[in-house]
Amino acid sequence: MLVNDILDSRYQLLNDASTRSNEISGCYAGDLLSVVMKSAKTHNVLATVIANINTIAVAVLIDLPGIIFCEGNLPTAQMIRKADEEKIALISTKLNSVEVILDLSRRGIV
Amino acid sequence: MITTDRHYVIVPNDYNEAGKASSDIKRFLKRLKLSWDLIKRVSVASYEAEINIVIHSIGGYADFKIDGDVIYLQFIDCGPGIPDIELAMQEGYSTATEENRINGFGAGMGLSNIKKAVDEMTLVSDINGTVLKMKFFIREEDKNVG
Repeated sequence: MLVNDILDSRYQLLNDASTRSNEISGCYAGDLLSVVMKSAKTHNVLATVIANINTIAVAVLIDLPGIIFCEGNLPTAQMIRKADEEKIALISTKLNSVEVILDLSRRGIV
Repeated sequence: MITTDRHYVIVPNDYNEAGKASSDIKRFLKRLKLSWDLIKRVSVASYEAEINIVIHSIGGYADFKIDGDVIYLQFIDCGPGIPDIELAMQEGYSTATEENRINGFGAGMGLSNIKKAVDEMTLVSDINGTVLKMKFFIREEDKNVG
């Protein structure tokens, strides 16, 4: 599956369009970054409400291809620049993390 | 034989810079084509240690060294120290503030994540500061993989 498969009217890609082709495999939802580091698997897309530069740092360290910011949280311009450098997709949605997982599962993406 | 020796300054309360040392360490290890398991263990331990210094200390340093088949990480801060190391090692125990939590920290998992990631570690702390030393062994199966 690709980041592009996630995108629809409810999921908006916020950074470089080239990240649409990032490969994803499974989803992990979490807001405590230490728990995310412990439990998320490589190539998982991360669903979280934590929209700050540390979220990008964790994604870089454990090779996550994309982050879905839930409940309307938005990254800063600095985060978008960093994500572009690191080729990590940043997606925003109004859905909460449980709704995201149920939705991605229903659509056969995870 | 692989050798490197790098030094980083860690600034307290600077969330924007937090993780820079760990990112640099990870990039270096990736270039060496080591196994993902090893790179992830080193990266996670390094990031947790770095964040601990950013959140809890008045500032410190990190040293990253490879000598032959051993990766050494050393994180030193200048205080105020960990009052009860045994308690701090327990999963879920945290002294993080509300501001730390807003930034996604304060799970109380930092030291236990480090303990699980390393091959060997020593942690010494008093009011003058904390010294965390970690060792990771590069095994034959970790080489020329990534």
